[in-house]
Amino acid sequence: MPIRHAALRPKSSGSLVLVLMAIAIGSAAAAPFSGAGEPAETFLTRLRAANYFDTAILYLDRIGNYPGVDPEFKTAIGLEKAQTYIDAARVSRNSAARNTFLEDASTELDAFLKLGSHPRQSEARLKLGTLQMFRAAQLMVPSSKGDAPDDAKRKEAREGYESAAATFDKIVENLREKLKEMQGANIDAKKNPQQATQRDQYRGDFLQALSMAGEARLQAAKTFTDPGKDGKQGLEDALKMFVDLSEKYDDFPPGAIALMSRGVAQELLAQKEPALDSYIRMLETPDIDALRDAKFQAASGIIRLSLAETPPKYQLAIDRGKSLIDGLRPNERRAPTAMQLQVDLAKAYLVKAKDSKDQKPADLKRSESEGRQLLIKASKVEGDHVAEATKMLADLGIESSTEEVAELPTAEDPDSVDDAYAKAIELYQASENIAQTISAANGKEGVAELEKQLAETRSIASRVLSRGLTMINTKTDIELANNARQLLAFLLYQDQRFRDATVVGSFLAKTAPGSEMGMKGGLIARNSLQNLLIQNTSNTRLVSQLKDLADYTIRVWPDHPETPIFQRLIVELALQDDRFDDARTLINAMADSPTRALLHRKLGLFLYQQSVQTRIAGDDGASEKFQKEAKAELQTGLDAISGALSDDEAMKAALVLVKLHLRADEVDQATKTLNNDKYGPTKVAERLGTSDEAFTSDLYSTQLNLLVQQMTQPGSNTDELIGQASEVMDKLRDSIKGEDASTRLSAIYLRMARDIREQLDTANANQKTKLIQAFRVFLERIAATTEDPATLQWIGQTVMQLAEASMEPTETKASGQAAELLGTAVETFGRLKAKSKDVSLSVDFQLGRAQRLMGDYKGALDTLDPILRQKPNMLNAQMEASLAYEQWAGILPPKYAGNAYESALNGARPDAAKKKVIWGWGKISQLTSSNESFRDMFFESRYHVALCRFLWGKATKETPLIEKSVGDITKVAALYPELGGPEQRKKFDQLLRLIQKELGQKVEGLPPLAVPPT
Amino acid sequence: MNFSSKPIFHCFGIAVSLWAGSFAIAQSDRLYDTSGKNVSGAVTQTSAKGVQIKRGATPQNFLSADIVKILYEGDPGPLTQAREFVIDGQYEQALDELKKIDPKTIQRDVIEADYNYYMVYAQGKLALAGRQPKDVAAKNVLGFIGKYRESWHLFDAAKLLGDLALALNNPAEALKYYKYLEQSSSADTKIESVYLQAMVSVKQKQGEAAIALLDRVIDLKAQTPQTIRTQALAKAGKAVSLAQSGKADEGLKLVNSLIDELNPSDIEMAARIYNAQGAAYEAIGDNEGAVLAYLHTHLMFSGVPDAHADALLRLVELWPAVGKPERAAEARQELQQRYPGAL
Repeated sequence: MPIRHAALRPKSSGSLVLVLMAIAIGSAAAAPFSGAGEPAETFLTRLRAANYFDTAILYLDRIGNYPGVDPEFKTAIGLEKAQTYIDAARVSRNSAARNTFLEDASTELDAFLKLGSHPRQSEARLKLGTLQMFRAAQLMVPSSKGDAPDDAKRKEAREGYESAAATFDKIVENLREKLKEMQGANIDAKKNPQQATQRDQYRGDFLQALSMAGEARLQAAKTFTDPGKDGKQGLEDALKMFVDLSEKYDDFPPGAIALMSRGVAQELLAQKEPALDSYIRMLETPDIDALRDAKFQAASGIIRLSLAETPPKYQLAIDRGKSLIDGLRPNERRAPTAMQLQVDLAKAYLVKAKDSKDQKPADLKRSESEGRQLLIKASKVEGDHVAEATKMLADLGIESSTEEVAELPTAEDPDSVDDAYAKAIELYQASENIAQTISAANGKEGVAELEKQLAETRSIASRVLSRGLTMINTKTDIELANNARQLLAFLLYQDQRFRDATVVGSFLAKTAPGSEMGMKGGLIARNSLQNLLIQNTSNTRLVSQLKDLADYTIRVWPDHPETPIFQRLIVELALQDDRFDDARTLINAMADSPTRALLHRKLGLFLYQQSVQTRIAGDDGASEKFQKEAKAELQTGLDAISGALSDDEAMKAALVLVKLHLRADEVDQATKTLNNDKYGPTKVAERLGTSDEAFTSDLYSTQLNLLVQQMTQPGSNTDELIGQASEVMDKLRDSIKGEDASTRLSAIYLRMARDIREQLDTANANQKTKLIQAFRVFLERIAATTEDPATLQWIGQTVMQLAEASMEPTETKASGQAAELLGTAVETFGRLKAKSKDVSLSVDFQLGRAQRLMGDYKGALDTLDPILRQKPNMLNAQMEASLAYEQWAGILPPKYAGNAYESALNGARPDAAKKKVIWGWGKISQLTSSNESFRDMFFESRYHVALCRFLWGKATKETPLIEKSVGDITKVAALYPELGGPEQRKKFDQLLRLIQKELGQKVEGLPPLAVPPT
Repeated sequence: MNFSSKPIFHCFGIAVSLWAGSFAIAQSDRLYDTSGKNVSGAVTQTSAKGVQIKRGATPQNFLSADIVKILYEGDPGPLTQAREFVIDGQYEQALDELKKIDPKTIQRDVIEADYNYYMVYAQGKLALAGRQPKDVAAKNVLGFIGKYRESWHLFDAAKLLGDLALALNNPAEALKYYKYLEQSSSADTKIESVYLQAMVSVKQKQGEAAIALLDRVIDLKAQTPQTIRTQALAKAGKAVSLAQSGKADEGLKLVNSLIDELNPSDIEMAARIYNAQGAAYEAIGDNEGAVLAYLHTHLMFSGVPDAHADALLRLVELWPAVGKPERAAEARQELQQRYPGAL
């Protein structure tokens, strides 16, 4: 079969020439910025790239106005203008304008060349030669109707190419001489870098000119309708040049690229074997950017030659072409040569699809599909190849390629594991693209469809891989098989098929023990199991699976950095389920590591929480047990910290340990822990600082507690301890900054006061008395020396808490130590109010409460009254006021007591609108009845409704009132049988019994609670 | 068959990162400073003024102004990506990455602060470029400042808030936030604060006031590269002020001296200098010179959204003046596409 010359001819505008033009006369790629000053070269390049050619010329005309322009650039303005005109011609669609631009370019080049010895002279000549080629190529462009150029145009084009060849020859000769001279001069690049650069420039230009001289001859030959016959001499001359270039200079891009041109010339001269050899040699050159284009053309040449064989050698064609198309880089996906190769490769597939000998029908179908897909893809990129691709598609019965969508692999059975993996990878990549599109769509229209497509693509990939994995046999490459398993596990994971992902991941872990790949499988399995456990934390089978996986991982990868994470997971699961003993056993089985230490601390914190909960529930025995265990775990975890690696977490754990020691009255241990160099919270906080305000206040509060406890120890130095406590207070105050510092500090002080109260409540009687005494001394000393409002408030609040802690639960009026403390509180609040008119309502509330506890009921009500006028909904103040009336009534003579009880019950002190400022228990209970969050207040107020009515009736000897108080209890008990909990119910029950006794009724109390069915 | 192993590594990367955050034990953070060095250790303290990082027992303190970024142990993968995108000025990509993060899964406060900072910063920068509502962005930045008072990003956030206020035509607010930068411990930032305050005056065309402030910056004896840079920016600002005050020739001379020493890799600087050149040319009625100046910004330094938008805006007006109305339409189209809120 003869060589199909048509395939070698430029398709329309001489694509081969344009490619070469891009090398020879195309604008340089954006020149990198270099040095200071006006970046003229770069800006000019950008102006040209934006097609602002007239502005570029304007800029070159004004270049003298810009400072810091490279002087050499200024001397080559003519050359730059020529380049600008060439670029303008290249993009111009108007032939007249194009010719004008080309003429202007020639004029500028001629003028520049007349200047004589400019270092860029050879570059200018190269441009001139290429300009001549470009003008010649223009003549070979088919007419707008698609007609081929006539003989006259062909002749004119040939002459243009020949002129270009002469120009290039001149450059070659000129540069050859110069390079010879330079060779004799033995230029030392270190001593004379400028000359060395010049020599390199000449070398580059020389090779470029030589290459273009050959190309001009090749193109001149191709202006004949039968180049092999009529242009034989030109082809042979070109071939000689290409051989020379490719043999002597194949280390340089022009030399290597000449291999491809050499192949083309040989192909046109019907030298098939040498042509194939040249093309193959071209493909074997290094894979660098400058050679990629020539490689695409060489591959196209191989395909042409292979398919021209009898029978056609399509497999060689496919092998050579496919690897290049598969490896196309993003910037090559629209390159004309790459697109032409895609079309040529499609031809090879389509030839293969017709060869039914030794091929299964499925293979034939697949080849046709491959060919079709390549054509569809290629036809979507503009270029000379589109006409051919469209025609081939039409031959396949596809009229409009735009309606076709490039097909992805389908769920058909794969041929092998290899095939399955390859398809799955392709699908995976496609799915990632879809996922990215979904993400970019940002919830816009069409996302649902894309999501469906994504799920389907992933599902097909999983199915293909699953089937492929069943084809694994003894000959299968293990790495490939494991890669496929990992991909399957991951796809399943992505698809949220966690159970399946667990199975595949675990299998991979077990088939590749000890390897990194196996660990990857284990990780996917672990993550899948975690996801399943999030959905169902109590699933013992999943927990058991996770435990098995962790055990296996620990055994097989004992030293892998991920292994402790598996162990930690198991421990955390046990902790979540309050299986503290299991967690302890697991932790103790671990090798020493930071993770193990961390888990000891974590267990300690869980046990501490448990101790708090059991104490609240009233189980002091259990609480004490958990406290002891917590202390032991925290101590072990803290001791195991190596070096000075304590962090925030360790510091917080250590603070809990301090608190535990304080609760157990272990002052020495608490002190040691607090100040431990390695993990002591005070030391770590000094080293690392604390940004967590809650922790800061907790730390200082604990420090103060500890100092006060130290004061209770025999032989302690009170002055020194108070001095230290003052320092702690100062530190705390200094640590709170910002505009709302005083509000935040007040909140912290309140929290600290409550902490102290909590500590007092859990202390035994002896310790409590000592602590209160110590606190009192401490607070009075601080109060005497401070004028700081926040500190005074803290002192007042703390003293209040001390007073209440030292009162018996049944006491309504303080006496002894409690009364003294309250006196201090009242005095402190008084000082605070005297200092500022703008004290918070909570100070007034505390003052009112202190007054009530001291028995100054009138004073209390006068203090609370303005609060409630300002903020009627302040419920605790309303309750405090009602309680003040109630307790006041208890000490008033009977004739006044009735009124006081009535006020406590029904409210008092009407405002201007006749609304009672103090609501009384009745209104409080009404307003709190419907809100679940006020449930405790509701029961408390209901209790006082009954109590007040009973006491009122008793004081005024009005039996109906007393009888009514029975209903106050029984009605609420009917609605809420549990009455807010056992303690509250007990209070109601006792009151009812009292009332029943007073009324002479049978003392039965509340009916027992119904036992819930079991 | 030789398939790339990249997808596999990709799979693995995703799989491993799913839980990495939960298991940070001993923190290993890495701080990159402006001198190009990096330090690893545990970030133990942060404040508006700086960061303390500890390796072993030795703490090292860094001023906020000297920090480029901090990679925290436990960073969600997309946050690491987003951080780089923000540093690179690719704010939309940064937001895309940040959207992948479920904030509830963030384990450390510092990471949470970083996540929120880069979120509001990217939104703010896009808003400045007209690609997001400015008022919403300003509100978000304000929210960040209110919540993360200890963040080392606070001054940057304040600067951004100032920029947004200025863009919202609220110079008084802008001045307030720019002035806040004076509280920094870094002399560079204090100087930048003066420069920014001056630029508010430039924006308001208060030539004399602007020049007085800018001269304060220019006359300083610069000691750091950052201050030298701020001085160059101040000169560009002064060139604009001079042009506004009828001294365009003087402005042009000043701007040309900057071009003579131009570092074209500092695109923000270059963009502002060429915009200043454009303003000076416009002031003397040289529309061709102005077009060329703004084209420098448009074609070479478009990575600075506000300056690029300014340049495009000027080109929309200037192209017709040099007989190229079709290019004005192109510039308008680009402006609308890239910076929809700028027109």
